Amino acid sequence: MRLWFRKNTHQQAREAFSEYLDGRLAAGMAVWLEAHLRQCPPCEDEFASMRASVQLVRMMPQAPAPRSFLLRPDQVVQQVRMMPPFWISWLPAVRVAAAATAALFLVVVSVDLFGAGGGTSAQSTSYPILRSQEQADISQQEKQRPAPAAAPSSSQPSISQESLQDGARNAQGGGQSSGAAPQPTLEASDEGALGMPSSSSALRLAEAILFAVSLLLLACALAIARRRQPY
Amino acid sequence: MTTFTGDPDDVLVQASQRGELTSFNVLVERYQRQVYNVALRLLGNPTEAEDVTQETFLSAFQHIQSFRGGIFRAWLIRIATNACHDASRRSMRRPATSLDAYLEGEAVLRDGPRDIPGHEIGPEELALRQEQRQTLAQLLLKLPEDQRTVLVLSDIQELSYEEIAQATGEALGTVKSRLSRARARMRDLLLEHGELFPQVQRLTR
Repeated sequence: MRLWFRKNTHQQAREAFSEYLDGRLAAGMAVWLEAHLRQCPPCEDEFASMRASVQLVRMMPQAPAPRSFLLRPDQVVQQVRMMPPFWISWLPAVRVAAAATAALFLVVVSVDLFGAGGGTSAQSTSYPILRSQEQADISQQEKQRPAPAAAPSSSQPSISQESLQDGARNAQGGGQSSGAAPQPTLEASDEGALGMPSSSSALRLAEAILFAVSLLLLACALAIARRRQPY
Repeated sequence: MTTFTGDPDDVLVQASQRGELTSFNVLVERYQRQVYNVALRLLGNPTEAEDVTQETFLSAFQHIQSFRGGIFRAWLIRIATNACHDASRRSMRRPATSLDAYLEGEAVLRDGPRDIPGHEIGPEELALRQEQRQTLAQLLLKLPEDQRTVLVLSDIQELSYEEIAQATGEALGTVKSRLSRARARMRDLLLEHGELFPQVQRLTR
């Protein structure tokens, strides 16, 4: 038991040599080590040899730099070009925006294709499509729309028609031409015929704008990704 | 956002991050000797050390944007030690490095600033010192890579524990225990060459 204790004490002392030499040993521990070294000649010798060894290594001279390592402009010209401009970090946002605009574009196109026909049969096919596309859509403003639009049963033409008009109006993304869209005050007997011409031109305008914006964003995303390539 | 902690290099680092090569070159001038010596002691080959030094500064300038504060010197030495590890892995795949080239590199070492000024050294003592240095440098290369790195950074480059921790990416406790093992191993190696290092041997019984 006593032997075990002594062995551990010596081990502890040896492990403390290095930090003690650097003056980094906690004060209490340093006092203990000094006391131990005074009464333990083998540990004292070992400490002395380690101190001498560390001193020798510390005396190793520093070699002079063999030449100047200053960087020349021609060496770093490529690096400077490769340094990321601040807008590189916009890439994820541009990607999301491009995807959102493209999805919105598809929504408007499908409303135009399937919804503008005005028939009850067309509605039953258009709404599921709308819903599935909008699930992929990240745009917040579009997310709110499908539930109320798809909720009503298509067995009631008046409600469906109103929802369709509403949907078409919202599909313009709260855009500039919302005023041109027909108000959802149409009677069921109108069968949507009155609002159709202005609604479809508004849809065309929205399609054109969304198509152009999504192309622009896609081009931006590709350009940024190309600039980011070296990293 | 880079956070600076009052490091004297901060202003130059900030200018370098704006792409100012002149400012970065002031840092190169300040640290080229130290980086070269780290590489020389870790690799033991002057030619490779020179290549690694150049590579380190180029890489540092290229990635200066990724410096997020802390001690610039430690960040630079981290790049250098990583480059050394890559270089030693590369050279392990090649035939053994020339010992002549290594000794030639040691021969160009002049007396460093740590030698006592005004102390006249006779030709015999000079020769002994030269031999001691060569042996010391060779023994250093016998240490495992991780131990050699902390020993070089601590006892030759005089970095603090905190700087070594940053330069090696290790925890402070790991640095302390690794340095302790490295010093003990180095002492054992020196004892094996007792005739050259009487100051170490005479103290052991």
